[in-house]
Amino acid sequence: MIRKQRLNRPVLQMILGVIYSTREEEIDCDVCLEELDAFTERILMGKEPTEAQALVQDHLSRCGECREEYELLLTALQNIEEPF
Amino acid sequence: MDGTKESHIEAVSRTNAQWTAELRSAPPDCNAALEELYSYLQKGLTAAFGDNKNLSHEDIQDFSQESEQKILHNLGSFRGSSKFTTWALKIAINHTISELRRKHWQELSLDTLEYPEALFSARRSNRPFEQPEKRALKHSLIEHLNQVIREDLTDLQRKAVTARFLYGVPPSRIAEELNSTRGAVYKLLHDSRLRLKAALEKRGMGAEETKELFD
Repeated sequence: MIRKQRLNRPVLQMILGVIYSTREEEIDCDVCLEELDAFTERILMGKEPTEAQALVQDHLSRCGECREEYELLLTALQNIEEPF
Repeated sequence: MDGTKESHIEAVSRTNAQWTAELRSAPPDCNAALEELYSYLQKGLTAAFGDNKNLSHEDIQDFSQESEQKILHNLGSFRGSSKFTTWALKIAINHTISELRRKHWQELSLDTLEYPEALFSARRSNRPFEQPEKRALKHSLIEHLNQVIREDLTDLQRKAVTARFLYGVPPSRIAEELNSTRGAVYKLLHDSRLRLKAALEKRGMGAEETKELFD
């Protein structure tokens, strides 16, 4: 059985942070995943994200599952690819 | 240089157009590209999930094979905005992690969760020696938060918010339960957050007014 999170100070702060930082314009996970390969390559090249990719970066800061996939892709490419 | 590395460099040296053209061709013309793609995915997944104790070498092989089928099926959606191999590995990682998440959360049913009238309890968040003003503000904030969740969200939004915030259920699992996609659940939660933010601000409980709670 899954347990409820205890509402301690950090959890309350996190939940309110998630609510207060909400922006009208956010992309969803499907759009983020669509852009993730090009975004990750750009990061590996040491370049700043493009204007359009700023929304990907913003989404990654909000969505743990997409962030996990980004980090896995980044780790894999860093380990198996020649430098970009 | 060992054979593995040679094969890797060969794979990387294919252009995107060569990859898609060869993979679309009939056997035996597609065989070399298929073999190299499989080998690349296997290496990529091993590098990505090497530390994951829930994945055996055989699992990686299975996921590489399943991912390859998925990639071939989705070949038409490759836009060429990255290297073909990066795009392919992205799909393989998504496929693998989705299966792992599914397995991890398989016992959970959203219907078995409790959906209390008051999602949060102020009493539980009290700290010893907290200033009375801060405590009063926190109680008020939590009351408002419970109220806006109860009154300003739809049933579906409340269900998703409760699962996500109170129980920490990830969007992919919520999506599966609702026969939806992760993207659609993100949108559902995004709309909920917008409503909650607006409702809290309307009640004088915006970020500015509650900032001192966390100073």
